Amino acid sequence: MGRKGNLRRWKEKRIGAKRLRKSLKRLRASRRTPETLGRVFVSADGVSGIYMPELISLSDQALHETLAWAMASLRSAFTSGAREVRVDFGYTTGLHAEGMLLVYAELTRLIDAFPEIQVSCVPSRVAKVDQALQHLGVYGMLGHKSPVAPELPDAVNWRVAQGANVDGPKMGELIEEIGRLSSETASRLFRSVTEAVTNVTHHSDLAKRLDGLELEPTKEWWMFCRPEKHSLYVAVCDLGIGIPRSLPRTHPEIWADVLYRMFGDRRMTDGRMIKAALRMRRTRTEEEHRGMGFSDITRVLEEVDGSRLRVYSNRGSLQYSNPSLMPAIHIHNFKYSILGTILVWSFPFRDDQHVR
Amino acid sequence: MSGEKVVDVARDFSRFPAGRFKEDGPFSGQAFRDEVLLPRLRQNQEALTIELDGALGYGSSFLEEAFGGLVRLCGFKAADLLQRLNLRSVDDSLVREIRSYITRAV
Repeated sequence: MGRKGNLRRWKEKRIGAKRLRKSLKRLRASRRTPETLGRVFVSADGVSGIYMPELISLSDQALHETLAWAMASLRSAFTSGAREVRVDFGYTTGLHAEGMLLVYAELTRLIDAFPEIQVSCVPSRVAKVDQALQHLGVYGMLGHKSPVAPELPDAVNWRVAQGANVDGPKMGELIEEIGRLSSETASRLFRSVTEAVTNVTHHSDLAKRLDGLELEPTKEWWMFCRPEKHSLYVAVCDLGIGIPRSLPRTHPEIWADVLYRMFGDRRMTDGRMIKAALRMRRTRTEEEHRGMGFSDITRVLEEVDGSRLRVYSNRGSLQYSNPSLMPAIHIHNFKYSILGTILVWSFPFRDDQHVR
Repeated sequence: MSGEKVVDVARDFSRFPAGRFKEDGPFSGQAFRDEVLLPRLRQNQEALTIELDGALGYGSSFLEEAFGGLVRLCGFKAADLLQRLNLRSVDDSLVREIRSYITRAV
């Protein structure tokens, strides 16, 4: 072989590397690499935008990270000085209730806060996602006139409500629309949801959300119901300061001791703070008659076998299962904060019967 | 039966009672206490039946503020109130819960 052979192999390697670089560049340009999803893009015509994740969900570490980052990018897009913000659902192939609720809430809030910014969107190519976004009014919110008529069960089963105080009729009517719950379960669920929203309204004035937008705190909440063939998901979201930030403010004297009693040290993580909050009853006003809402939030689980509550708040999450399932409580901590709180109750449907 | 005073929560107030204070929402415990319970209780000293069935559900904040608040804030004695209020529901635990809010209110 000698020197010529070595030179040829070196050139081949260079050419290979060059091809690899080119193909990577093409791949990035075609926006198919996973790392571009959830990131901001700025186009030459002054449009700032965001590629939404493939699966809009908070259900595991990677998905939580991507969606939390996407929401931060969305806020950046609105504050970037662009004349138009475009939300690109072109690569979105799936929606989970808790993830979609976060996107819906964040979009509603930003569009209300920045009425001077034009919004647009790129629709999803996947029929069920496309139809769900149309059915939920996300396309309408983003000024996209879609000809799609939602008909798939995955799309038309979604129900949404939103409000700015403890609006019992709005929440109650949404629960009654589900129609597949026993009266006892519907009653307990109504109790859980209204107490969750009552907590939101009582804690909304504690501090501003750390999103850099400097908007005044509000008592807004958003709610999704999603009945599927074998289960029902009910999710409530608020974009407040989150449980981990509110806990030291609502329980200034005891929260550290509660952490110590529960975990053996006072190390704060958002997951631990959520777990501690679920156990506490006293409030910042030291009034014993207040602060009972969290027991209401979990009480519905005791009545339905296989039911679960997932709480996502800032960087933490907690999963609380019906006591018949073991283990009953899991906590997780994530890299980025969702800057708010989402509670998701899930109930299994059995043989298409009412949940009892 | 004709002289019996009855408050039907669903009919006289809302099928969807929720929230503690008036600023929480339109059908809060405070609103129910001030606008429905108090006027009836102060009208005369007779027993008052509260029909609880018919509403979708009751959160603890609503119940505590409505019934516990009568003792904490409105000068009623827990023992008198327990005697005067006839709480009616197919859900016994709901009746027990309301009675406990009245008893524990200080």
